[in-house]
Amino acid sequence: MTDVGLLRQQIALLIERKRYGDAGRLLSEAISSEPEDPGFKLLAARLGIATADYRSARDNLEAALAQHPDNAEARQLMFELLCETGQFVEAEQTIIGLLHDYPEEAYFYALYAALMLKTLHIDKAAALAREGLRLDPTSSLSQVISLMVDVIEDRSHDASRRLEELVRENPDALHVAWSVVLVLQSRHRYAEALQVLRGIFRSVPDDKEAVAALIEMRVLSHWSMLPLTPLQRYGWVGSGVLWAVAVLSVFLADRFAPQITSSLVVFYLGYVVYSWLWPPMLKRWLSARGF
Amino acid sequence: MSETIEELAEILLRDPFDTQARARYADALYEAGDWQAGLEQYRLLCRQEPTAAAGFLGAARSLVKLEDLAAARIEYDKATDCGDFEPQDDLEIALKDGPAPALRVVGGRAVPRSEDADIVRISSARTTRFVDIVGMEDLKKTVRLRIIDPFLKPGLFAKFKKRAGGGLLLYGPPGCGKTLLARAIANECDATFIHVGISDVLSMWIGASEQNLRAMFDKARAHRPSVLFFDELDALAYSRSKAQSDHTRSTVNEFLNQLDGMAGENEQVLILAATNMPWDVDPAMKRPGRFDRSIFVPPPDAAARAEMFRAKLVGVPTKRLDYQKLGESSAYASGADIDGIIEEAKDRVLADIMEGGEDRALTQDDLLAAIRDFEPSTMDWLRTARNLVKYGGADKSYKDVEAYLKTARL
Ligand SMILES: Nc1ncnc2c1ncn2[C@@H]1O[C@H](COP(=O)(O)OP(=O)(O)OP(=O)(O)O)[C@@H](O)[C@H]1O
Ligand SMILES: [Mg+2]
Repeated sequence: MTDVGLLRQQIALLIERKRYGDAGRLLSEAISSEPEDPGFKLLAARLGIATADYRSARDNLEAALAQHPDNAEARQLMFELLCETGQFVEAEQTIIGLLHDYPEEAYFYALYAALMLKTLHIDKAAALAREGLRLDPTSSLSQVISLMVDVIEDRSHDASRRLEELVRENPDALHVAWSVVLVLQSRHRYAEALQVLRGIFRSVPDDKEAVAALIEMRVLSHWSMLPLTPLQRYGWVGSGVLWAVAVLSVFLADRFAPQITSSLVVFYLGYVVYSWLWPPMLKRWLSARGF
Repeated sequence: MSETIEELAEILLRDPFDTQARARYADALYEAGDWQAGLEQYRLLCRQEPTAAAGFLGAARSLVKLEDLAAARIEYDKATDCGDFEPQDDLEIALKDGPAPALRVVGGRAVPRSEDADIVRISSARTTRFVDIVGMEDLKKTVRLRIIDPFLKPGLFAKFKKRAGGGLLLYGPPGCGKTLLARAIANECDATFIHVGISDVLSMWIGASEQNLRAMFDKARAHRPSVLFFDELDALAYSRSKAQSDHTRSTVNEFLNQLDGMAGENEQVLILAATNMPWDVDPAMKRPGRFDRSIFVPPPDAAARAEMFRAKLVGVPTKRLDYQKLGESSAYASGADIDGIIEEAKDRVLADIMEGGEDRALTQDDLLAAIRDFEPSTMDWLRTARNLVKYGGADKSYKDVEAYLKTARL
């Protein structure tokens, strides 16, 4: 390997090990001595994505793509960047372009599947992961996504525990696991979402988002939140209906059984207060005590 | 005046500010012929008492014994500036023929770098001893009992069927003295210290990492008794589950092989490692026989911080500093943070002088203001550790941290 090649490898390994400071230092030295080297630009983009410095990532990628518009690595990084910044339409176009040029590349199918999972197109994600597995049965990302689809579809028994393991053991799984959490949460399957989040948290304990999400999910999955299910599940509609029922029942009670009216009123008021005060109190308590 | 070196070391362990004990300790080391260690203590004494001649004179005498006359003359000259200086006949005679300090070229770089240049025979080189580490009393006791004594007296431990093998992992927030402690351990074991730092790791990545790693272990075996210290272990043994590259896998596998292979040949080779990110270290590294003992190196407590302020401000013009107060108000600051605070305070003074033109010394207020504007760099680490303990599920690997967090009320 040449000197430049070695330097690239060192920087790539530093980024992989989350030693962003060391990587940045080596990289800026490298770039100042070899400003036109496309490899360093891609590494700078990788570093930008890893450290959420998306502007630098984009600048470097655009410069690299201006030199070599067909470079697959640059295009793949662009896809990752677009996913990170929530530009899913552009991301989809990029990955379709890549699949057009590399129709046999299982990893690109898996990446596409991951994007579909992220945007809650579960069926499409499943189909793409299947295609990825057909092209390369050992593709770990495709395997992870299939398993995640299984979890979401509630097909495999004990899947969320397997998923937690997978997240701990497979670097690819981490990115995708977040999507699964979102899906599970949107389906009110809090206990499973909690399990997946635990896996995420254990593998990246220094991620503040993971901690916050974990606590939030623990609150949602706590048994004392059960009475609030209608509010959680149906949102404003739920509380509107509840309100209407309350007013109606108090009205009817007043009419036909006035002796229970006051208990009813107290009950409803209690419920309102409970729904208001309990979740934040529970959150405090759980995050102070741990779980 | 009749204490042994060990007793004096104990006294200093309890109270590092006891300058009289330190002077006696330095004298005792000098008398015992350990001039290098004596010199280190005299130098510390000079920092603690920069206006007293005794420290400089002791340093000068040690340097004479170590045959560095030029340096000895510099120390002697410093002593002459002190208020309580009295001419010393023995030193006057010893230094009469030495080269004048002005002629001394300080650039000691001309020493040819031999193959073993990175291997430092601790007992003869710049030493860090347990007494030089401020605070950490319990930790030092544990390390002495569990690491150093078994290393020095393997026979005794074998008699009680106690296994001496296995590595020791130091972990904790950045800048709190892990590297320092590792050096001190090597020194207390009186062993060759082989330090594998991040730059060695980087160069190890060039070409076949496995071979380079193996070479490190071979070197350690060839230089027994030795301490092989992997600083920043997470860089070298990054969790295989978090890194895709084959490179990581093969390096970690080789590392595990070497650690396991050591079992038969590890006599007189102590393996130490340090990391800020124990959660990124491959879990297989922590299995029995490998780094099965880990020690949490906490941030310095208030007294240790006070002492660090004192040591780091020697030679800076200051005015009536209350070190204890400084230590108390800089909660959670690490050794490296204290450097930062002092630099910031100096900047304030210099900015004032530039603006107002009036010369003034560094005051307590400058330091307190710098402390107020300062976010301790250990906080992120401590929060992460707290979260792991609280929300990570049943995992006993961080119980030391848990105990510390309880006392730190974080
Ligand atoms: N207990 C201590 N006594 C004296 N000095 C200390 C102590 N702790 C830290 N320091 C000082 O703080 C600085 C940083 O210490 P060191 O390099 O050992 O930290 P570290 O834990 O290895 O940090 P990192 O994790 O960043 O490698 C050193 O200059 C050291 O002198
Ligand atoms: Mg260190």
